[in-house]
Amino acid sequence: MAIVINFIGRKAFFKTVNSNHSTCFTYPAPPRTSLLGMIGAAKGLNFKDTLDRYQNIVDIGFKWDSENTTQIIVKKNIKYEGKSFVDKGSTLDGYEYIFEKKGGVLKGKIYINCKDKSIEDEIYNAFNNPVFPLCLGSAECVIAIEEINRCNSIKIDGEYNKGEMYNAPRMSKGYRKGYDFKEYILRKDGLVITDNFVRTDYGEFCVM
Amino acid sequence: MTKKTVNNVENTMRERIDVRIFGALVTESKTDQGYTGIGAIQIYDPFSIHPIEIEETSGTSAFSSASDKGQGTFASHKFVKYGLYTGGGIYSPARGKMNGVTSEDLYNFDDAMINYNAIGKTVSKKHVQPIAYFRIIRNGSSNSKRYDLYFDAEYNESISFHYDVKLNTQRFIDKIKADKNISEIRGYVDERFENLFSDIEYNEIHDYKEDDHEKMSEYVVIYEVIMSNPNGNPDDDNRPRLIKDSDIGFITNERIKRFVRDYWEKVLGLSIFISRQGNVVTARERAEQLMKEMDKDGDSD
Repeated sequence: MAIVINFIGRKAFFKTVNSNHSTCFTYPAPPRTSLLGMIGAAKGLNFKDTLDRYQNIVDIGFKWDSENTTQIIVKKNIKYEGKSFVDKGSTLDGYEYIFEKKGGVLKGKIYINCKDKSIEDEIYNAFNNPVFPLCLGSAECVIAIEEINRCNSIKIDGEYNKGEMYNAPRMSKGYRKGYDFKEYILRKDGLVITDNFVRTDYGEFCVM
Repeated sequence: MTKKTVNNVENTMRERIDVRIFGALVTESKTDQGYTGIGAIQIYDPFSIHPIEIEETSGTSAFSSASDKGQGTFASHKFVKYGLYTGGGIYSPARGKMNGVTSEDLYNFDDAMINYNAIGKTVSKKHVQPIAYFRIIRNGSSNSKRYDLYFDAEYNESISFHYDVKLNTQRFIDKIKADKNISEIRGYVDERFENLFSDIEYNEIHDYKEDDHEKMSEYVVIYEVIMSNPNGNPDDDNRPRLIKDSDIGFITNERIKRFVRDYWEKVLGLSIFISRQGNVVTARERAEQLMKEMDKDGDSD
């Protein structure tokens, strides 16, 4: 048994680890840490408690159902961090966001498989009644959940060598203590591919 | 305990309505933990519901340039001829509790969202104003419904005037009617568009209840843009922002928050953190300015 969540939104932003205050880039799909954070938001937990509780007991997969593009949005900031530019005026900062290709609605699916039925119930109930608004990365990228379904999942062998390769954090070892990275592929149909395929009633996913 | 400790960054920040509502970040220093707060209200970027057309005009300014005091400079204006943008936001009572948001803060937010055009806006933003604003109060959790995504428009090939676009609210109304968790809707609708929302019942937007801050609210706003630039793109010679390779325009949530903050500061006279008054300073310097002001107020009492 697993959970598949269908969502809609307008934009997404999954900050890469090599971003800084002025230039922020996004991964093309949420890394595992962002999706764990989403479970934490639904449960009302902070990041550390979320990792402590869920890091080792859930498998997560992700798929975009919309055709997307990324665009760098330049914003003028009048308050900024750092001391080197004091008295030089406001700064122009660039943020890369994911949008639907024609400015429409972002759509996607999140797959969550838990090692324990009680944990699965806990997550299912949390997504039905989230404590904090759910978002795709940044807090302003709020999503609406359209559907939450329980489903069966079967492990299968799948083809995963067609697409662009990314290296995203899979696990955080703790605040500012470094990440574990994992390579994944974003296939043209929006599926995030790793080496573990599962087939569900709502399509195929890979465990991140 | 010294006064400096009492007026630490966290207490100072929580005194500001924009920090309680929109959140803020002040980095830590040797003497202070700093402040990190996510806003209780998250604003959605308004997107146009039809392709927009951008017009450019140029003219000369009567004033000399700042650098060489030479002849009048050339001014260039880029604007949207006509556009309908839909956006909104969500208020999370859980975050509201963490930030100390009150019902009065939410009342002031509604007031600013509707009336921000009362402040002296620049020529380019003279007609960027809401024609419909709803606050949808829902029972239970912070599960957003993103009602702003349920508007459509029928439009002519060229869009220059209001009669070139016809707003369609049917999907929005159906979505509202299907939602069994709505406990109350408050709204403001421009009289020209009242007939489009006649199928939903809503109370006056300025209705006020003491426990408003304990309930989840979702906001829906439709902005009308006439011959104005709702949000210039500094990366594209200040043209109105567009999704690349499309004609869909959008406004950043930062721009909407700026309207609201300016209204709070200039019209309501509230003290805000991210102020455009005075010199550009870092977030920490601004927090320290406000701490000094609070210390002075304490001394005079």
